Amino acid sequence: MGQYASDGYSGNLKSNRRSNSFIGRRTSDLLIWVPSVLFLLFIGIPLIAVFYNLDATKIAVELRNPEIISALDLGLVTSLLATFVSFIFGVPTAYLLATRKFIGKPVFDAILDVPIVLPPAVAGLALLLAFAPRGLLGPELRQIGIILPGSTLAVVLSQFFVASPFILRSSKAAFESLDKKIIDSARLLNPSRLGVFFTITLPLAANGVLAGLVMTWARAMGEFGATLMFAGNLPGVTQTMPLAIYMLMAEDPLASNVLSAILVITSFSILIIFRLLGRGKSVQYYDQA
Amino acid sequence: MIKLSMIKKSYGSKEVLKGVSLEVRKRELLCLVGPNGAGKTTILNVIAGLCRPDEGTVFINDVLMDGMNGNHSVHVYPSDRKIGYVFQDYALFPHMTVSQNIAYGMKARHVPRNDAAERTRKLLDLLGLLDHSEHYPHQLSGGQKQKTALARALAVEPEILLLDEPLSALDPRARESIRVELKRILGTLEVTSIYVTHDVAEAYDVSDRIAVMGPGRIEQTGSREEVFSKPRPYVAQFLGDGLQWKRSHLNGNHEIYS
Repeated sequence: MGQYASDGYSGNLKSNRRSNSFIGRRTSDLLIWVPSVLFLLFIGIPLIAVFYNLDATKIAVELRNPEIISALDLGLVTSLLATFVSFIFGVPTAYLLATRKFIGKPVFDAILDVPIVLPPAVAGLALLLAFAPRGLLGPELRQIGIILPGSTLAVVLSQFFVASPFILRSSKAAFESLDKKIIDSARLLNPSRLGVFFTITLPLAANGVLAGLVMTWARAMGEFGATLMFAGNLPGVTQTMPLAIYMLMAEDPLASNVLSAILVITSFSILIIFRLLGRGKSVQYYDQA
Repeated sequence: MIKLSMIKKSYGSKEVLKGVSLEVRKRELLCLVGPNGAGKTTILNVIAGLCRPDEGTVFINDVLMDGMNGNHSVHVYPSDRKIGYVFQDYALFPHMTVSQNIAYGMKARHVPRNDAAERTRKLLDLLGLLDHSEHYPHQLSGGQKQKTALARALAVEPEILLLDEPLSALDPRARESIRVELKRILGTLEVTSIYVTHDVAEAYDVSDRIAVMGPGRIEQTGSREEVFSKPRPYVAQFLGDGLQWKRSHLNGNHEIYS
């Protein structure tokens, strides 16, 4: 990395300003390295701090704490469900947006993007106003026996609302980047449209879809604001890991710390998987993708 | 047999095809030659059903593929047209081996597995790809990709073969040998073909008949002798680029063109 910075960039500076090229290199190195390292420290130190007070025995003890277990359990189940639902709805929608033209498409597209920029607390309130018993669709939902606030389903819906744009964006970009001629050759050979989708389109977009899945899952697992507003904070029912971390801060800081550590490790692993997926793509299809 | 009548196609305000009529006889190889951007590829895409014309009719072997049948408009799905299409940059399936690429169409059409394997092997043999059957497209040379694309198109026993600038993505040295080989293979096939190129020499070499395109329309169609000896004004100008070729032709290399 260091080699890259000094050889690549200062090389350019040197050719432009030959006379003080030495100072140019030193200055440019400083300008690049100082902010980078400070940046790394600011992000890195808190990540390390999470593990500072912990050792294996403390973690082992806390892992038997029923509150932690139920938060972990609920967090995993709901986030995986939310990811699954995002997949079921996100991939076809991404395909639609990537391949079809229709009236109102820019609006359609923009609306689905809103959750990315919307503050999660606002998302939660919006979900309440729409689906709570006294909300916009509340009466209809109550008629079919569904009362969302305070239910695990509401957790899944909050996570889906906030996290689904990731798989949508990523899959859409993947579908858009496909070589149309490859799909066309498949359409000439394969009488089944679904067949073309599952044998050619989806496999070629797989890296983008998978990357989106991973990001969606990570976002769903970390969801806090919308869940708190819409689903509430009932241990074992709606209290996911981030909610438990927040609640335990006061009564059992160590438990809160252990849960945080688990989330840091999970997020880090997700990121590594994400990176490996990215690398796989460049090696595999290097020539044609 | 392919018959296009008054095909029009616009993309936005750009009229790509301005009323194209063209007839390709059964089992002949017609070369569609013209400058870049004339709409040659669009014609192939219309024939293949990948691009729906705004106006005009397409018949393949006397069956209406595009156009009006009484009151309702017809558009036959690409795979139902019995067309093999070799794209300019091959468009191989990058996640499949050479064999899988070739077998794809047969598998999709539920050809019995043994028959498909047998036909794949025959095509690999015909095109000299036996040593590369388990390679992925990114491991192949340009010429090998091109042959794979041809084999994949031929695997489903098409009645029509469309070749879009089949030599243009090859490096000049490979081009010559692949041209000879391609001509040999096309000669053995009993299939109606359209061969698109912007290279006059290639057109003269490969084809039975030639259609010369100007922007958006066909300027002249005829046997290659007709077109080369009595070119219409636009065609004469376009063929002027071929002077270069004629000179090298007269200086030798006769056998390639005879």
